[in-house]
Amino acid sequence: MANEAQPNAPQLSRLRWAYERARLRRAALWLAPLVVFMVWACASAWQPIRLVIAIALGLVTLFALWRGQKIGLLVVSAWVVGLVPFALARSGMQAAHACSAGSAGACSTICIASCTLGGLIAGFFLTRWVHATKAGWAVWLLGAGVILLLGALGCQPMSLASMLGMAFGIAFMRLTSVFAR
Amino acid sequence: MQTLETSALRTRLGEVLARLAEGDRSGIAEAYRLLWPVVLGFCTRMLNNPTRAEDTAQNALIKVLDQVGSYDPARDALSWVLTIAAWECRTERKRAQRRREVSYDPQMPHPSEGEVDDQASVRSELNQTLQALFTDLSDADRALLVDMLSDTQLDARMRKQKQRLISKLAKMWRDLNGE
Repeated sequence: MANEAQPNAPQLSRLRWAYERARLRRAALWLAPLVVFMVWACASAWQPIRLVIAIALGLVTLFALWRGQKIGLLVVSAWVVGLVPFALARSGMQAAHACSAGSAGACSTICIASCTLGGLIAGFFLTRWVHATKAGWAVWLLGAGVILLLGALGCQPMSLASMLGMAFGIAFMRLTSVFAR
Repeated sequence: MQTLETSALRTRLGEVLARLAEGDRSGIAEAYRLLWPVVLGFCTRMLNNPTRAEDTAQNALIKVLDQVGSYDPARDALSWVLTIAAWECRTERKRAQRRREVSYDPQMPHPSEGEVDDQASVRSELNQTLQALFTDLSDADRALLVDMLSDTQLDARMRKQKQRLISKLAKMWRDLNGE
C-alpha cells in the first residue's frame, strides 16, 4: 500500500509504552471487583495462607488480563468455572454437620469429595474451552492454576487432601479428553 | 484507484485495531505504518502548521493506542482514529491560544529576541485571520464595524445590528479557529 511509513525506534517505544500502560489500567479495572470478592472470601474465614492464595490469584489474573488474547479470555472463563469448586468446597464444609459434631474423619471425607467434584466439573468446562479455542497445554495449565487457587479460597479449613482432590478432578478431565481422541 | 486504496486501508486498519484490542502486540508497528501518514496529513490540514502538526499527530497516535482497548470492530476504524486526532488538534489549538493570551499579558517582563519573533509571527497570523473575517463581511456590516470601533453613538436599531454582527463575528471566528 502506498500510504505507509516506517516507524523510528523512539516513536515506536512511546507507542508501546502507551499501549502497555493502557492495558495494565484496563486489567486493573477488571480486577477490582474480583479483589472485592477475594477480600470477602479471606475475611469470611481468616487464615494467613488464604491471603497468600488471594494475592497469587490476583497477580495471575492481572497478568493474564494484561497479556490479553487467549490468556485473557481464558482467565475470565477460569474464574467463571472456578466458582463451581469454590462454592462446592465452601457449601460442602458448611453443610457437614459431622464437622461441628467433632467427627474429623467424616468432615475430611465430605471436604475431599466436594473439592474433587468441583475439580471434575471445572476441569470438564476448562477442557472443553481449551479444545474449542485450540489453545495449548500452557494455557490449560494457567486456567487449571486459576481454578485451583479459587477453589482453595473456598476450602475451610484448607487441607492438602482437598487440594489434591481438586487437582485430580481437573487433571482427570483433561487426561480423559486426551485419551478419548 | 484512490477509493479502492482508502477502502483497503480502512479494512486493514480495522483488522489491526481489533488485534490490538485483543492484546496482539505485533499490531503496534503495523498500526503506526498505516496511521502515521493519514493522521499527519489530517493534523497538518487542521492546524496549518507542519511542526505543530507532527507533535499533535504523535500525541494522537499515543491516544489511539491508549484507547484501542475500547475500539469496537463494528465501527469504521479510520473514522474512529480521525475523531481522536480531531480532538487532539482541538486541544492543541486551545493550548496555542492560551500561549498567545499569555504572551500578550502587559504584566509580563520584556520578551527576549526569540520571543519577539514568536509574537511577530502570532500577530501576523492574527492579522491574516482578521483580514479573512473582514473579506467575508458585507459592506453594511463592515460600515457598522467601523462605527463601532470609532465609538460613534449607535441608535436602538443599530444596537440590535451590532449584537447580530458580534454574534456573526464570533461564529466566523469559531469556524476559522475551530473553537
